[in-house]
Amino acid sequence: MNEKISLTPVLEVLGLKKYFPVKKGFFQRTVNHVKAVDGVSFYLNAGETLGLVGESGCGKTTVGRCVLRLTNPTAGDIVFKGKNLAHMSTETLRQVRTSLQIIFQDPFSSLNPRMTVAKIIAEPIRNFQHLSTREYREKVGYLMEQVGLRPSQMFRYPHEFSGGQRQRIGIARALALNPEVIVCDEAVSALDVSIQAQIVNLLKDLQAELNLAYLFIAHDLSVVEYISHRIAVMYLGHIVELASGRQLNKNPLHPYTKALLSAVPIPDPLAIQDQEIILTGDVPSPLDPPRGCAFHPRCPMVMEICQTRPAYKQVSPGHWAACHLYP
Amino acid sequence: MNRSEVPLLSVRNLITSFHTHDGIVNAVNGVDFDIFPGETLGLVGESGCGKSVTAMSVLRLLNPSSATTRGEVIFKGENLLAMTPEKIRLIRGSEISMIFQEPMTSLNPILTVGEQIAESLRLHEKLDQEKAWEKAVQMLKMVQIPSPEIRAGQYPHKLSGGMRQRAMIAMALCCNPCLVFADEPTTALDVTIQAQIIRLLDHLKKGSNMSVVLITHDLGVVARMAARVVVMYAGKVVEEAPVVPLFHDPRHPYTRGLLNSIPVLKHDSQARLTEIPGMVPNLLRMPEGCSFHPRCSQVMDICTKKSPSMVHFAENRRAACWRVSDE
Repeated sequence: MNEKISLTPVLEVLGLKKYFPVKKGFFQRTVNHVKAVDGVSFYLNAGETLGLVGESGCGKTTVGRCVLRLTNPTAGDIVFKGKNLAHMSTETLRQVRTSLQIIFQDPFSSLNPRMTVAKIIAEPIRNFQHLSTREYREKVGYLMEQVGLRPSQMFRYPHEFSGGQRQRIGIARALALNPEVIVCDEAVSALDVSIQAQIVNLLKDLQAELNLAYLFIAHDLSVVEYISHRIAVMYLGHIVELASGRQLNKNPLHPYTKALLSAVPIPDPLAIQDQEIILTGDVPSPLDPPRGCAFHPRCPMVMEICQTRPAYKQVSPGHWAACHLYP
Repeated sequence: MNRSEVPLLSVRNLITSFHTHDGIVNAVNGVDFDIFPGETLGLVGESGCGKSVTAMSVLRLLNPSSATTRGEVIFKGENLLAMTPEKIRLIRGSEISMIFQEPMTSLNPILTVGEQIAESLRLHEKLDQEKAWEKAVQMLKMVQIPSPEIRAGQYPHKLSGGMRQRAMIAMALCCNPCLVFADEPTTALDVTIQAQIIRLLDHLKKGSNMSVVLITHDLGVVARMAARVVVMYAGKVVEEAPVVPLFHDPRHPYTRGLLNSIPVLKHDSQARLTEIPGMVPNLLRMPEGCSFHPRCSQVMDICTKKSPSMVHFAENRRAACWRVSDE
């Protein structure tokens, strides 16, 4: 799979920021901002999976939504094949978006319950191409087979399917316009493990077949590690570390990554959780993030210098981190 | 089973049926297990396998107009299922209590955290207002909530998810129960917070003779906490074993499939996950014979015709599978 990854990025995100205003009072004056994403940069190569992990509220979903311009970023650039999406008009954006698709977390609320599966999957095609009913059906049938559904179930409604099958419908819909980049926002989190494995394998197979690039957003580090070539770890709106899956696992640099890795329970009663790091306290509110390094109040390695924000820099080839431990 | 101790709670042939529009559904279909004093029993399985309904049935928390429960639940020599509602109310919350999954929805939003804990103390321990409040604050301190005096006077929405779960635990433990059902106690939490809660539960269990039934789908959490594990599938127990043999020598194909489908950290990310094909059967249309046979990789002729009975093949080990009965 590795040799298929090209070295020119299909998607490049530079200094992405998204601030949500907090309004108060009768006149709804903006009193503060939630800095959901505060300067995030990464790139994604064709045929590659970049995992984006972090705990709730770290801004990972907002990054995914900004990449597709489902929310408009406050600042920063989103460059897809040389075109900057951040400042694109709605009309041009509509065309470009055919190559950028999303799979949502909840297979129950992301499919319209009043539409048949055929309609759901054909909807994106209908928006861009004019085909005869027969051609639509053929296309839908082909897509359904591709994701492991029986085309004979085309005229059923979403409620007649199980969670895993619904997620397959969502994947078929995302594939309908032959995209190059798919944002998977917690695409397997709501599924049981045996079904989760099916969907993860399906996503991997489709990637190998169609040379898709995934931005795989999830909170479960073990799933992310399975599917991703490179992994970015987010904390309070920032990427704190980015490296290949292997590097991140063998040699995590940022104390937060270390804590995150050690907190994942190993499904083996004989495994000794080596140097279990238990973080104290909760993730601070993004409304009032700590000064300097956002992680410093919970960091076991905190130093005086951590009152200032650490730069995000390359520590070793391909291994980026934002921590004062690596000057 | 060769155990000298007397079980604290014995569940025998528990059957819980729900009356639905489409007919009667047996969500729990002949479950039996024992819980011994001071042990942690893991009850695992995927969504819909009946693990939560088992706990709700034992505690008689299901609405009798929609669900009927048959069988026996012997606790300290008495059958909980045959008790009067008044009597079970005295046991529930004091001798047996429950930690619910969603700390967001299972706490009362219009009562302060302290009042909610004090309520059960007043009810069961017959403490007066002031004493109950004092004890509630003490409990919050025990579950390591910082500044418990202030937190006790706050409403649940002021608390973070991790803190709410701590408050739930404080509430469940305030009357010194000898048995606690913990239904997915860490599922809604982020991994670093999950690690904190697991450590807290470990810490609270030490030094008390409390038994815990840990209901979860997360095999990592089970490996970390439980001493013995009961695996459920489609309303039935399929395997039971002490935790080490269950993970290292699983006998039921479902247990094996479940273990193989979990992504494990520190694996080669290019490997494929082993999936269990198909999906959990609809409880209204259960397959004939063994309910797992349509998904089983080792299915035999007999599996499609006759349901396998439980075989005790070794000390403290049992499984319901024709392959095991053959050996």
